[in-house]
Amino acid sequence: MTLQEIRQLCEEYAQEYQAGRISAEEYKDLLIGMEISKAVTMNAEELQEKEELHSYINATINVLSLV
Amino acid sequence: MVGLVLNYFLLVRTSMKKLLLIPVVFLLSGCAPLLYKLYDSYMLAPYDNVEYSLVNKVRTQAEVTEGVCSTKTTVETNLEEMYFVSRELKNFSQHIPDNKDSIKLTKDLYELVNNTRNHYLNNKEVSAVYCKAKFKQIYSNAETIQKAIGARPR
Repeated sequence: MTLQEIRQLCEEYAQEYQAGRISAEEYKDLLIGMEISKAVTMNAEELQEKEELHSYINATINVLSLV
Repeated sequence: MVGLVLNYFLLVRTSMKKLLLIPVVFLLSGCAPLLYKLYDSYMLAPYDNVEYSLVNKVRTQAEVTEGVCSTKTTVETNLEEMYFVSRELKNFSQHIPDNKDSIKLTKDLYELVNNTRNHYLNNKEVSAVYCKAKFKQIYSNAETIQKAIGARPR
Protein backbone atom coordinates (compact mmCIF):
# COMPACT_ATOMS: atom_id res chain seq x y z
CA MET A 1 0.00 0.00 0.00
CA THR A 2 1.46 3.38 -0.95
CA LEU A 3 1.19 6.50 1.20
CA GLN A 4 -1.06 8.04 -1.49
CA GLU A 5 -3.45 5.06 -1.25
CA ILE A 6 -3.47 5.37 2.55
CA ARG A 7 -4.48 9.05 2.33
CA GLN A 8 -7.22 8.19 -0.18
CA LEU A 9 -8.61 5.44 2.07
CA CYS A 10 -8.65 7.81 5.08
CA GLU A 11 -10.81 10.20 3.04
CA GLU A 12 -13.14 7.32 2.09
CA TYR A 13 -13.52 6.30 5.75
CA ALA A 14 -14.37 9.90 6.69
CA GLN A 15 -17.10 9.92 4.03
CA GLU A 16 -18.50 6.57 5.27
CA TYR A 17 -18.56 7.90 8.83
CA GLN A 18 -20.26 11.15 7.82
CA ALA A 19 -22.86 9.15 5.88
CA GLY A 20 -23.53 7.03 9.00
CA ARG A 21 -22.52 3.75 7.40
CA ILE A 22 -19.90 3.05 10.10
CA SER A 23 -19.99 3.82 13.83
CA ALA A 24 -17.56 6.13 15.63
CA GLU A 25 -15.79 3.13 17.13
CA GLU A 26 -15.43 1.47 13.74
CA TYR A 27 -14.12 4.70 12.25
CA LYS A 28 -11.54 5.00 15.03
CA ASP A 29 -10.44 1.38 14.54
CA LEU A 30 -10.07 1.88 10.80
CA LEU A 31 -7.90 4.96 11.39
CA ILE A 32 -5.72 3.01 13.84
CA GLY A 33 -5.40 0.40 11.10
CA MET A 34 -4.25 3.12 8.71
CA GLU A 35 -1.56 4.19 11.20
CA ILE A 36 -0.34 0.59 11.25
CA SER A 37 -0.48 0.46 7.44
CA LYS A 38 1.72 3.56 7.28
CA ALA A 39 4.30 1.92 9.54
CA VAL A 40 4.17 -1.31 7.49
CA THR A 41 4.68 0.60 4.23
CA MET A 42 7.68 2.50 5.59
CA ASN A 43 9.29 -0.56 7.20
CA ALA A 44 8.75 -2.65 4.07
CA GLU A 45 10.39 0.08 1.96
CA GLU A 46 13.35 0.12 4.34
CA LEU A 47 13.69 -3.66 4.10
CA GLN A 48 13.54 -3.54 0.30
CA GLU A 49 16.25 -0.88 0.30
CA LYS A 50 18.46 -3.13 2.44
CA GLU A 51 17.81 -6.07 0.12
CA GLU A 52 18.92 -4.01 -2.88
CA LEU A 53 22.01 -2.88 -1.01
CA HIS A 54 22.73 -6.49 -0.03
CA SER A 55 22.72 -7.67 -3.64
CA TYR A 56 24.85 -4.66 -4.64
CA ILE A 57 27.45 -5.48 -1.95
CA ASN A 58 27.48 -9.14 -3.00
CA ALA A 59 27.91 -8.23 -6.66
CA THR A 60 30.81 -5.91 -5.75
CA ILE A 61 32.47 -8.64 -3.67
CA ASN A 62 32.09 -11.09 -6.57
CA VAL A 63 33.67 -8.64 -9.01
CA LEU A 64 36.54 -7.88 -6.64
CA SER A 65 37.22 -11.56 -6.03
CA LEU A 66 37.59 -12.07 -9.79
CA VAL A 67 40.30 -9.38 -10.00
CA MET B 1 73.87 16.95 7.39
CA VAL B 2 72.46 13.55 6.44
CA GLY B 3 71.27 13.13 10.02
CA LEU B 4 69.54 16.50 9.90
CA VAL B 5 67.66 15.60 6.68
CA LEU B 6 66.63 12.22 8.11
CA ASN B 7 65.38 13.93 11.27
CA TYR B 8 63.38 16.36 9.14
CA PHE B 9 61.69 13.55 7.20
CA LEU B 10 60.98 11.68 10.42
CA LEU B 11 59.33 14.80 11.84
CA VAL B 12 57.24 15.28 8.71
CA ARG B 13 56.21 11.62 8.74
CA THR B 14 55.07 11.60 12.37
CA SER B 15 53.22 14.92 12.12
CA MET B 16 51.63 13.80 8.85
CA LYS B 17 50.35 10.71 10.61
CA LYS B 18 48.72 12.90 13.24
CA LEU B 19 47.35 15.20 10.57
CA LEU B 20 45.94 12.23 8.69
CA LEU B 21 44.20 11.03 11.82
CA ILE B 22 41.95 14.11 11.93
CA PRO B 23 40.13 13.53 8.60
CA VAL B 24 39.96 9.79 9.27
CA VAL B 25 38.22 10.39 12.62
CA PHE B 26 35.85 12.91 10.99
CA LEU B 27 35.15 10.52 8.13
CA LEU B 28 34.42 7.60 10.41
CA SER B 29 32.14 9.58 12.70
CA GLY B 30 30.30 11.07 9.72
CA CYS B 31 30.02 7.74 7.95
CA ALA B 32 28.96 5.75 11.00
CA PRO B 33 25.26 5.60 10.01
CA LEU B 34 26.21 4.64 6.47
CA LEU B 35 28.64 1.97 7.67
CA TYR B 36 25.98 0.66 10.02
CA LYS B 37 23.46 0.51 7.17
CA LEU B 38 25.95 -1.31 4.96
CA TYR B 39 26.69 -3.81 7.71
CA ASP B 40 22.98 -4.23 8.43
CA SER B 41 22.23 -4.83 4.75
CA TYR B 42 25.06 -7.30 4.31
CA MET B 43 24.06 -9.28 7.41
CA LEU B 44 20.37 -9.46 6.40
CA ALA B 45 18.64 -12.72 7.38
CA PRO B 46 18.05 -14.90 4.30
CA TYR B 47 14.69 -15.76 2.75
CA ASP B 48 12.61 -18.03 4.96
CA ASN B 49 10.02 -20.36 3.44
CA VAL B 50 7.96 -20.69 6.62
CA GLU B 51 7.80 -16.94 7.21
CA TYR B 52 6.69 -16.37 3.62
CA SER B 53 4.10 -19.13 3.81
CA LEU B 54 2.56 -17.78 7.03
CA VAL B 55 2.24 -14.25 5.58
CA ASN B 56 0.63 -15.75 2.49
CA LYS B 57 -1.88 -17.62 4.68
CA VAL B 58 -2.95 -14.41 6.44
CA ARG B 59 -3.23 -12.62 3.10
CA THR B 60 -5.36 -15.39 1.56
CA GLN B 61 -7.62 -15.67 4.60
CA ALA B 62 -8.22 -11.90 4.54
CA GLU B 63 -8.93 -12.02 0.81
CA VAL B 64 -11.49 -14.82 1.26
CA THR B 65 -13.11 -13.23 4.32
CA GLU B 66 -13.61 -9.90 2.55
CA GLY B 67 -16.03 -11.73 0.26
CA VAL B 68 -18.16 -13.24 3.06
CA CYS B 69 -18.76 -10.12 5.17
CA SER B 70 -22.52 -10.69 5.19
CA THR B 71 -22.16 -13.82 7.38
CA LYS B 72 -20.84 -12.81 10.79
CA THR B 73 -20.23 -16.35 12.06
CA THR B 74 -18.07 -17.21 9.03
CA VAL B 75 -16.12 -13.98 9.49
CA GLU B 76 -15.56 -14.78 13.16
CA THR B 77 -14.39 -18.33 12.39
CA ASN B 78 -11.97 -17.07 9.74
CA LEU B 79 -10.80 -14.33 12.06
CA GLU B 80 -9.92 -16.83 14.81
CA GLU B 81 -7.81 -18.79 12.34
CA MET B 82 -6.20 -15.59 11.05
CA TYR B 83 -5.44 -14.53 14.62
CA PHE B 84 -3.71 -17.85 15.30
CA VAL B 85 -1.65 -17.74 12.09
CA SER B 86 -0.59 -14.09 12.54
CA ARG B 87 0.44 -14.83 16.13
CA GLU B 88 2.37 -17.89 14.96
CA LEU B 89 4.10 -15.70 12.36
CA LYS B 90 5.00 -13.04 14.93
CA ASN B 91 6.45 -15.66 17.27
CA PHE B 92 8.27 -17.45 14.45
CA SER B 93 10.05 -14.26 13.28
CA GLN B 94 10.93 -13.08 16.76
CA HIS B 95 14.18 -14.98 17.38
CA ILE B 96 15.63 -15.34 13.88
CA PRO B 97 19.02 -13.52 13.93
CA ASP B 98 19.38 -10.31 11.86
CA ASN B 99 15.65 -10.27 11.25
CA LYS B 100 14.62 -7.01 12.96
CA ASP B 101 12.77 -5.63 9.91
CA SER B 102 10.58 -8.72 9.63
CA ILE B 103 9.98 -8.67 13.37
CA LYS B 104 8.56 -5.13 13.09
CA LEU B 105 6.42 -6.06 10.06
CA THR B 106 4.98 -9.27 11.49
CA LYS B 107 4.26 -7.56 14.82
CA ASP B 108 2.29 -4.87 12.98
CA LEU B 109 0.32 -7.45 11.01
CA TYR B 110 -0.53 -9.30 14.20
CA GLU B 111 -1.68 -6.04 15.81
CA LEU B 112 -3.94 -5.33 12.85
CA VAL B 113 -5.56 -8.78 13.06
CA ASN B 114 -5.80 -8.62 16.85
CA ASN B 115 -7.56 -5.22 16.77
CA THR B 116 -10.10 -6.61 14.30
CA ARG B 117 -10.66 -9.70 16.43
CA ASN B 118 -11.19 -7.56 19.54
CA HIS B 119 -13.70 -5.41 17.67
CA TYR B 120 -15.69 -8.49 16.68
CA LEU B 121 -15.50 -9.91 20.20
CA ASN B 122 -16.73 -6.67 21.80
CA ASN B 123 -19.51 -5.78 19.37
CA LYS B 124 -22.64 -7.70 18.50
CA GLU B 125 -23.34 -5.58 15.44
CA VAL B 126 -20.57 -4.96 12.91
CA SER B 127 -21.25 -3.03 9.71
CA ALA B 128 -20.50 -4.59 6.34
CA VAL B 129 -18.57 -1.45 5.33
CA TYR B 130 -16.25 -1.84 8.33
CA CYS B 131 -15.81 -5.55 7.62
CA LYS B 132 -14.84 -5.01 3.99
CA ALA B 133 -12.53 -2.08 4.79
CA LYS B 134 -10.82 -3.91 7.64
CA PHE B 135 -10.12 -7.10 5.71
CA LYS B 136 -8.91 -5.04 2.78
CA GLN B 137 -6.45 -3.39 5.18
CA ILE B 138 -5.20 -6.77 6.41
CA TYR B 139 -5.00 -8.12 2.87
CA SER B 140 -3.05 -5.10 1.53
CA ASN B 141 -0.61 -5.05 4.43
CA ALA B 142 0.01 -8.79 4.20
CA GLU B 143 0.72 -8.35 0.48
CA THR B 144 3.18 -5.51 1.16
CA ILE B 145 4.96 -7.67 3.75
CA GLN B 146 4.94 -10.65 1.40
CA LYS B 147 6.66 -8.60 -1.31
CA ALA B 148 9.32 -7.38 1.09
CA ILE B 149 9.97 -10.79 2.68
CA GLY B 150 9.91 -12.59 -0.67
CA ALA B 151 12.76 -10.46 -2.03
CA ARG B 152 15.14 -11.41 0.78
CA PRO B 153 18.53 -12.79 -0.29
CA ARG B 154 18.57 -16.52 -1.00
